[in-house]
Amino acid sequence: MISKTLVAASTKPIILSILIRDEDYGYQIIQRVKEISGGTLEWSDNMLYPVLRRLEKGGLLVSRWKISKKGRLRRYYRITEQGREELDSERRQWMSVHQALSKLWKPLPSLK
Amino acid sequence: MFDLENEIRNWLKTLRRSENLEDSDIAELESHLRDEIDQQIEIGLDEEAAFSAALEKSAPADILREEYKKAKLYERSRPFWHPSRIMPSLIWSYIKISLRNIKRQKGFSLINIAGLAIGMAVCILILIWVQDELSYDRFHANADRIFRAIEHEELAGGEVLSYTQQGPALGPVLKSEYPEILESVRYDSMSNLLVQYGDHQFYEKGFSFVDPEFLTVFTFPLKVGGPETALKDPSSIVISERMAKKYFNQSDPMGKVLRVDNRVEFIVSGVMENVPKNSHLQFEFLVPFVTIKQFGQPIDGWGSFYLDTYVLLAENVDYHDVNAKILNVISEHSEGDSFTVDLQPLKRIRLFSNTILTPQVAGDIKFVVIFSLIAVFILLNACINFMNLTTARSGRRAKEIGMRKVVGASRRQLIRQFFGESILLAFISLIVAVWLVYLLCPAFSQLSGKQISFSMLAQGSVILGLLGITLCAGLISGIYPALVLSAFQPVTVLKRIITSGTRGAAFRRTLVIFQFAMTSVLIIGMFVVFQQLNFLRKQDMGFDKDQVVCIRLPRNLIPKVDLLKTSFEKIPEVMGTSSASAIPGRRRALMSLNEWEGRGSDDRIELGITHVDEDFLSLFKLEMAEGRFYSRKFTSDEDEALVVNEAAIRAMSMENPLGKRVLDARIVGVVKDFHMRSLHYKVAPLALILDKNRARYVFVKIMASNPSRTLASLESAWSSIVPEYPFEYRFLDEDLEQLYQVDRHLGKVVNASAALALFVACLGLFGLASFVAEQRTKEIGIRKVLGASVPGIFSLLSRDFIKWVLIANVIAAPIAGYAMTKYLNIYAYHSNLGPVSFLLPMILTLIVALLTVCWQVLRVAWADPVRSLRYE
Repeated sequence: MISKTLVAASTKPIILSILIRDEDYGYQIIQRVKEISGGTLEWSDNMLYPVLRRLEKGGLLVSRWKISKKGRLRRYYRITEQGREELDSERRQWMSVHQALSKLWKPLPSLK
Repeated sequence: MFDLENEIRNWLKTLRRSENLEDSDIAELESHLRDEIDQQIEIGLDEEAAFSAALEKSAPADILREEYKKAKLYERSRPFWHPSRIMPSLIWSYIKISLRNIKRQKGFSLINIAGLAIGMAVCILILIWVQDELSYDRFHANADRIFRAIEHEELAGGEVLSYTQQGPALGPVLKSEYPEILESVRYDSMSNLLVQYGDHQFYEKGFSFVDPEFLTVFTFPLKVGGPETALKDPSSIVISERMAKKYFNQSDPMGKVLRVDNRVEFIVSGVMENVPKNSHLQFEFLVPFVTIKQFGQPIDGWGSFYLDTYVLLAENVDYHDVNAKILNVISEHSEGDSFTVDLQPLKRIRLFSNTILTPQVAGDIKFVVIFSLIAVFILLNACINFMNLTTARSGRRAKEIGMRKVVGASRRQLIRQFFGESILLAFISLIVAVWLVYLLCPAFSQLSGKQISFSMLAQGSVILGLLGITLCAGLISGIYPALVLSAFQPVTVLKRIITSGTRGAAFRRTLVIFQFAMTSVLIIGMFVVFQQLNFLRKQDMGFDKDQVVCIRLPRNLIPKVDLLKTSFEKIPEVMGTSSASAIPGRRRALMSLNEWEGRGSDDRIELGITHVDEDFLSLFKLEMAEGRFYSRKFTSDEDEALVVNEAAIRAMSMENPLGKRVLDARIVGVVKDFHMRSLHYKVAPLALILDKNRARYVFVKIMASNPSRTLASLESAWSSIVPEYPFEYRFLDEDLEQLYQVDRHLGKVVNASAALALFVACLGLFGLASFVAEQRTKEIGIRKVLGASVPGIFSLLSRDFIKWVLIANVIAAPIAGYAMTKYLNIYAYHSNLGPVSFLLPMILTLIVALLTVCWQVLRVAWADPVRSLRYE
């Protein structure tokens, strides 16, 4: 189980990383997250929407409405240039944290 | 019974209670919920179970509302661990530091700001000037669709002459035969027409004859009267506001009668706003074209070229297509004429007409380019000063940079700081520059021959240009310090391994040499232009232009020419009189001659024509090469004789010209070549035709002593014969000076810019010299203690500077030589480039450079070694 703060911190890079491939709507994004994390990242499904709203407000995403074949309204999100930059910087930060931790943990097998 | 729709509606209702959720948010959540329910139903649940499963996966409504509230409050704020890109407190510190730097290094800042301000002021003035040149004729609503017809004629040698002037038949034919051409307007302007209203009578220029559509094709707004109707009536006249005031003062001009040239009366039918200065057409009066018949010009036919034709094209027509169609319109209608016609866009008339023969004053795109280059160059000079002085003094700032780096400033931040500083300095300079522009406006107007006012600054494009110039100046001057200083290694700097300013010495040398090379080019240019203007003044025109009074003759007075001449000659101070159709130096009429004895088939020459009387030769002291001039002794001269100049004989390749037939006259004399036009042009073939009925000027040669009394006697003689016409005159030599007005303006601009460039370059040199002097204070002290003399030290310190200036001059010579040869070639007659043209400027720059560094260097050389050695 991943702690709440870590989930909160990782939401943004995860969403951005999903959207950098193609535009997508909320339900799909949630499915993708589940798929990728193998269920370890758990959040209430619709908690994603306020986050999306926030990212959109921050200029990292833009959205538009489309109508699905079944006639259902769906809001599609697309990443902006600023979003790409933000993702870049997030990636660098996460990688450095990752590197730091892996260096620290390697020579100490006794911790297991 | 479970009702899914109802349940969903209820759930959504709970969400709506919050103002933080917008309708779109709720729609999105609903869409999600329905997707989830569909998913659950697909794996086998019924509606009720699916609904509750979906709800379970979702966050409760109140938490959701809370999250949306946060999202709504979210203001692009960053988490606290992100440093912000811009830290306001740091910016303030940068500004403080740069202001302090400016204050602490007063001399240095003064040099920078003064140099940049001068450079920018020049740029601003030239920007305004260029802007004005480019704005010509753009104010017409149809400017894009208006064109001027140009006629081209190929001469025997393959040379093509282009004219704006055509016969009156062209315009109407263009309009009626080519559907693309909506309107055509003929335009001819006369000057020196006497206009009378009651006691008010003046000779007016800018009296223009136009087709009635003129006011609808062009946009010259009327204050009174309608553009469609104002010129309909053949006796109507439209006058400018200026003229309305001049003739009618406060009273209403409409319906008043103006008498013109003592023969035609016009009724005022409209008052237009004064014609803007940036119009290539300049006029004060407009009258219907047909009335030109009463002033002796034909209103139909292809033969007499005297008017301009403008056309208005239909929308979305490419004028190149029209050009292809109308190319041969003249030869189609008028057999034997080989002229071709094409259209020139209205917007290009002002700046791209220098190869076209036209009576109007034109600008030249070349000047626009030259002026802009000069402006950029002076600004560049100032930027170089900034770069040089900043890098030279970098040692002083090395510690600050080291400190900043040690406490964590990144190189990028330092670069930003340096650019910020140079841009700040540039903005301070901008303020000074605007003030300078305010002071310099009148002088610049005089210099450039164009009315430039300070208020012209307040145009959008000029203001944008200003900001652009400022930013550019800031960035260019900041670029080297920003990149070099920011690269300092804090360790070496703090250990003082870098002694101040040794870095970039080579770079500085290059920049100074570049600066002086460009300055030398300008100074050489200044010398050459000066030489050429002098040459123009001194050059023998081939006729005597001194003490000749020119009196323009109103057309009505031609029959009275002889009377006027004899009564002038009775005045004792008058040495002679003559009449002619043109002032020497100002050829007007041209004809295309294709009939002479011994002509090869298809030969054709361009022959200038001046109508003269028998006294023309003696009054202007022209010389005959062969034969004789017209004489009253030969009564048949008027019909059968012809005098041409040597150039005409050469053009016709005639041998033994005397007695040869040209048209229906025989050559009785060949006059030696004299300059019938300005020295820009080669002496062209010219025929002097004896015809007193075409006289437009009376020339009176007077004695040098007491000209004002002579003029008074001339005036009283004039008024006793033609009291109804005011007496107006000019001196020929003054009139000829006007031929070179543009040249003199150019000369003045080159002088002023060369002086400014030299000044700015010297400012930089002064700064560098004082820096070097300061840097070597100790060394000089030691040298003096060891017995060096003051002259020795002086030469030691100034040797470098002299070397730089010399190298700069060597580099400048070929560039200037190339440019100046091009400049001199615009004159058919010009002075020659000699070693003096290069040596004098070199000596001048050397002397000025030496004087500049001299004070700083001497100060060190004279200094008491004891003090300098204690200095630190």
